[in-house]
Amino acid sequence: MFPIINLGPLSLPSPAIILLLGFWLGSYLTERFAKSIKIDPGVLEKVLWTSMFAGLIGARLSFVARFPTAFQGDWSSLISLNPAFLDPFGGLVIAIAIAFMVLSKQDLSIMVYFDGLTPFFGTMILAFFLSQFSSGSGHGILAEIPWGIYLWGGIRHPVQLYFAFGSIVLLTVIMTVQSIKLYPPGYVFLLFITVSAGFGLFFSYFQVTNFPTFKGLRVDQILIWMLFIAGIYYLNKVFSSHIEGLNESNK
Amino acid sequence: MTVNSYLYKRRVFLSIIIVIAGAFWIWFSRSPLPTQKQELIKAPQVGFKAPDFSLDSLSGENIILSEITNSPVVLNFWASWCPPCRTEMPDFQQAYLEYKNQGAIFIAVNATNQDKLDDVLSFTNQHQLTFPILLDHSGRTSRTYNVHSLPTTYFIDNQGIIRKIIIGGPIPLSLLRIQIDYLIKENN
Repeated sequence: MFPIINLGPLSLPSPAIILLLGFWLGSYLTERFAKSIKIDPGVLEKVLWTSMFAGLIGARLSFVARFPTAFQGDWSSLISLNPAFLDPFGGLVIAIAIAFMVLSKQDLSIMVYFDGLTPFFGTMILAFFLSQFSSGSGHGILAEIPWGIYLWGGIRHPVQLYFAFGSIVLLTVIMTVQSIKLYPPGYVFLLFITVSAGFGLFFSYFQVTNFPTFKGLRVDQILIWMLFIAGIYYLNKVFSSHIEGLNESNK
Repeated sequence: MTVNSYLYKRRVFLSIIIVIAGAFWIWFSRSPLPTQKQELIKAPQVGFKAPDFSLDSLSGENIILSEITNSPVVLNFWASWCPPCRTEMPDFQQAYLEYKNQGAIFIAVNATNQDKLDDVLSFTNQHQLTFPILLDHSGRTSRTYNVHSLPTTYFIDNQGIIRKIIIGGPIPLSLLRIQIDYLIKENN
């Protein structure tokens, strides 16, 4: 666990550094991937930067909207650089909405662009779990295992590394898909969502959760499972219609 | 049966198997895991019980964290030479005045092992800080709380569970209000 990197008088929060590196690497991989599937990388770059800034502003506004009375007499803190003033969920919703708005104005189908952005999503998921590992949050359950790590009073599953490993595997598969043009638009993105949900469902067992339970069942797992089912359904649907299309054109 | 139809059926069959396996995994995960009650373990992390300490204050009073019960606690680690700590302290004093009647306890642990007592006294007098300033002469409490950077602030609920950690600062008054309101609301 290394939550802070101390460089002389500077104390840098390592989770934030890892997320920034993830953004940079994700942008780079997305640009490479976009070229390989013949999408304009400029469009994706525009989406990423616009969404990031909109997300940051949205996260701050969403936070203020949730706690307006707390700012009375202290309005200067609205422009504080403190990240604790951000509402991640609100920011994410706004970033996604802005991404949809920008992409809907483009020539190609929105699913083609989602395919192009898949390496970015994969890299950010990897960065997210590595940042959690650095801060010690999202920790695993206690377990007497040889590869366990000592954290928060006991030997635990290094669950953040399990997730990170899953992300690397998935990212490698996506980046090495050579015959991408054989697949219909949206297939790579849906495959990514489905396999990520599968990994999430499996590895979440090893993670301490604060989510509520429903009749003993973990609600977080049920939500991931529903996403998994939706992913499988749409994958089959997209693939079937693509095959039908190919058959029609061969006739 | 055509090849396409066969492949389609195989895909659907595999999908159903995978979905059922997922459902089984959720069912398997439901069994309560032994010794997973993290509220019983003391660790400086959100969701865990705040580690105990016993320190003397500037006024000579001895304060033991575990003896503070049924009150939310704002625990701040600071030093007089640290600029963000100096900036946020007046806001902590303001929040202390606003919330002391609602039961919130403010404790500022000075990293005395890397500070000068004269500077601490001068700073607290200058800003008229009236909440307890504890002196961590050995640095043991800072180490127990994994304080890698000053200031670091822990928000602890009335059960002694850490609910929020803010590393760095300065923490504005508005953020203090939000966190303390949350702890008090939870308490009620």
